[in-house]
Amino acid sequence: MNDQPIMLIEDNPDDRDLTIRAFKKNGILNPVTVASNGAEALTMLFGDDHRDQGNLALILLDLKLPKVDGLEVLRRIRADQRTRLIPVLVLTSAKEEDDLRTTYEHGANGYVRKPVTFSQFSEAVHTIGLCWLLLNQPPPDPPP
Amino acid sequence: MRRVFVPHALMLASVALLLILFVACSALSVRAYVLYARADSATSNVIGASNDLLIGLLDAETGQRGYLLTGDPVYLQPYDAALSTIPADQQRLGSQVSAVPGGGQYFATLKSLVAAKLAELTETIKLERAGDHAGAVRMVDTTEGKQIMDDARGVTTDLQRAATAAGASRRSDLGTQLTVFIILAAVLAAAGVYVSLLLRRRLRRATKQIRSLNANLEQQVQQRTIHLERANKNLEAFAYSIAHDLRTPLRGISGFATALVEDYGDRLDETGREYTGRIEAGCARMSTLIDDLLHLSQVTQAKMRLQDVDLSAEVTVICDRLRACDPGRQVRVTVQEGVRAIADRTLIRSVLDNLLENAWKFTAGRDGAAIEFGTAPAGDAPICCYVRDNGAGFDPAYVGQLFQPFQRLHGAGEFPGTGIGLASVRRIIERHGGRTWAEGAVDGGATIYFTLDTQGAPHE
Repeated sequence: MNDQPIMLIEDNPDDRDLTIRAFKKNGILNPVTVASNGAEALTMLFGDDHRDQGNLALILLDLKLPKVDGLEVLRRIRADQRTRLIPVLVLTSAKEEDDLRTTYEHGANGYVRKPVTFSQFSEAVHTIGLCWLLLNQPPPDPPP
Repeated sequence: MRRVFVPHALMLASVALLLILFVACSALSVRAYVLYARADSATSNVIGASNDLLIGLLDAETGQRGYLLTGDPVYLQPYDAALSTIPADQQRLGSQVSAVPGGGQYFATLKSLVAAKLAELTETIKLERAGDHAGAVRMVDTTEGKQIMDDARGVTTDLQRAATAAGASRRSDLGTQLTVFIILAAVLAAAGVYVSLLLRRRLRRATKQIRSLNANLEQQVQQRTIHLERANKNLEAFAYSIAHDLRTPLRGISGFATALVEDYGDRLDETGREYTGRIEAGCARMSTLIDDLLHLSQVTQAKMRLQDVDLSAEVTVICDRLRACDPGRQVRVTVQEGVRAIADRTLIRSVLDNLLENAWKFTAGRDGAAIEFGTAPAGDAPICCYVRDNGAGFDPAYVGQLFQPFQRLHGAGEFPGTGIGLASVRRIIERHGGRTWAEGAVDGGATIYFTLDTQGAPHE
């Protein structure tokens, strides 16, 4: 398992804490950077003191975000040379076909609907970790 | 100019009145014309009859003179002939004179003169026949007979003049009448035509108004329908978003209940752990409810893609899956082959899923459990299918609740489920233009029927 950081973009504090808890419970020890809305995520990714833009292992992105919504964040991630190869997993409670289609069209690598019960949610996080952090080979580092 | 509105009824009544008056005027004109012609003939009748009478009298006198001059009875022939025509002519004249003012007077005088003349002629002829020629000639010579004859002529002339004058005046009266009536009839006809035209114009205007109102109404109905559809859609979207938003806090409850047990489980006693277990069970159940609600609203909102679907094949696939998931159960499944319909494959599959899962569920624990899929006589629908089982059935008294969302006729402990299945079945079938109904009895199994709008092509 690599030790590159994971970025979690999620506005709901419960979901945020539970996701982080589920990472820990499933032995995913990568550092987790949290952004609680789209604007914050963009600042962290592209702002003056951006630290994480290049070597993120995975971005977990909620679609319904205040200020700048998830799709816009995704679009900006894909539009920027520094971040366009980072795997982005949309983690949301929406399940509308329109969302699904647009999300993939915007270049998401996956779309996971958050299960309601924690045991299922934890299972989902475990599988995500297994797949994206252990099995998956991340893209090479971006050009300097 | 200010327009005065005359009610339609009044206009119609006036047209009717004008028509009646017109007919009356026409009748009066015809009558005046007939009377006019008749007045003409009455005058000529009086003149003719009085002439005939006078000629008869002259003939009688001529016969008498000839006889007296010659003594030959042959000359009496005109006299004899006149004796037979005079009474007839006199009677004819009598029946006509009433049309002449003072005609009765003239006629009476003429009648007495005729009688006197005839008496004189008869007397002289009688004397001549008796051989008293001189007495007869003397009697003629008294000129009394001549005087009578002159008087008769004078009276006749007077009568004829009076008749002519009366006829002329009556004709003139009738002519005036005729003219008046014809003019009146023409005026009435013109008025009738005018009012009719007014009515027609009004009728046209009313028709046009009705048409425009109709069009307006149609437009309104269309707008309302669009409005309602939009409202309905909004409501569905609202339900969807509510159901959706409920998931997030629920995940929090569930997650932290689990965290509580995981992190502080050693500090909880048996009861405390049971409570957190109940919280999680409640969350799981609510999660299922929300999912079903979302499913129900999706069933209503999803776009329909109609195609020819082999229902029998779908049923077989679902039953195989049910069997595979629950290999311990012995269920006899009977599927009528070749049942096809035009339907949305995803939606109709969901219908069959629900019905067969129900049948599977409610026959649990039965010996000789049997599920049957087939078609029934459809009534007026092109196709009617049913799914029948011999399971727990239901109380027919509550059949009305069967298809209502979240209505369950069995306890959750008895048979699991949220009570959304048949509600979504009904919604899907209704979207396909069909109907759903159920038959069953407690412990007597259940049969769910559904009709579809279009039958599929027959299986080749």
